[in-house]
Amino acid sequence: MTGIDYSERGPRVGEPFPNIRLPDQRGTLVDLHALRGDRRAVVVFNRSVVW
Amino acid sequence: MSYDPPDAVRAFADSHRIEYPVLSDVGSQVIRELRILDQDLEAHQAVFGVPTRPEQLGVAYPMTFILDASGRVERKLVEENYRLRYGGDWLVQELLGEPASPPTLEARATGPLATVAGRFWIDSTTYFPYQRRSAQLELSIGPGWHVYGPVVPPGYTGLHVAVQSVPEGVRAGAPEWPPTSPFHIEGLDEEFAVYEGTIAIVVPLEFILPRGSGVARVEIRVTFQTCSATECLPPNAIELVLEVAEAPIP
Repeated sequence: MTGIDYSERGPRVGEPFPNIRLPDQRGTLVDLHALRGDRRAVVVFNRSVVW
Repeated sequence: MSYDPPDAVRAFADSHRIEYPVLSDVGSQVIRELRILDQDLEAHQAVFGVPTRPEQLGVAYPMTFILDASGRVERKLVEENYRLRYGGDWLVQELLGEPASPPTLEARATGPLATVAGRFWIDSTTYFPYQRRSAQLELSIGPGWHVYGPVVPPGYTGLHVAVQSVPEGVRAGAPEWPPTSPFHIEGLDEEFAVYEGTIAIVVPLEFILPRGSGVARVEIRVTFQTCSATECLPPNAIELVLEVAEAPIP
């Protein structure tokens, strides 16, 4: 619709996804790769939970 | 993950009973490190006539990463903007390669002389305002007949899908056409790209309807021209209608 292509931004297919350490909704610090262990995972970016 | 503060994330997760981790990236630190800070937010919101407030800058691009067992990016799903976004059932379908639920709303219609029959369905009975949903269109073309593909020489009627709705606001994104087959007519120098047998077309539906719009009557009109090796029927169309209810506020 805007014709803006941002698909190349961010980690690319085949690259290791950088580790993320952020608090979750319970205030627990989540270490993405530690939590994942040797399982697959889905990381979804949401605009905002407020607006 | 979003850029919201932890208390907002907690309220959201509680009200939606979300068990999986919802991460809070205050200051968009991680979003910046990942190089996915949305630098086109104003342009994307302007499409919908929505102004951008300063505190809205800091969101990430609407992206989803599927990581493999070793933590590498296996797939990267990039959406067009935040206003129109697929729901979780689409993600499940992308991950598992199968629909999250069986077809729940379906319409059928048959064209002239029963040479073309259409089936149109979506995997839900409801829509959310500003949601994208994939609809499936299946066309069965009778034995000995073919229809022209979407790209035709001038003067011919190619396969075309148009969507309108009551109330207005539902529109079709670019359909995903299956590959066509070549077709020659003896004595003519032209080659045509045609469809035969049963074909499946994915039609993204965009429900650009504000909250409170109620039931959306989605009318899809499929225009086509059916030919055999020796004759062509006049261009024709079939219409398929789905009545999709507005999802309640979760």
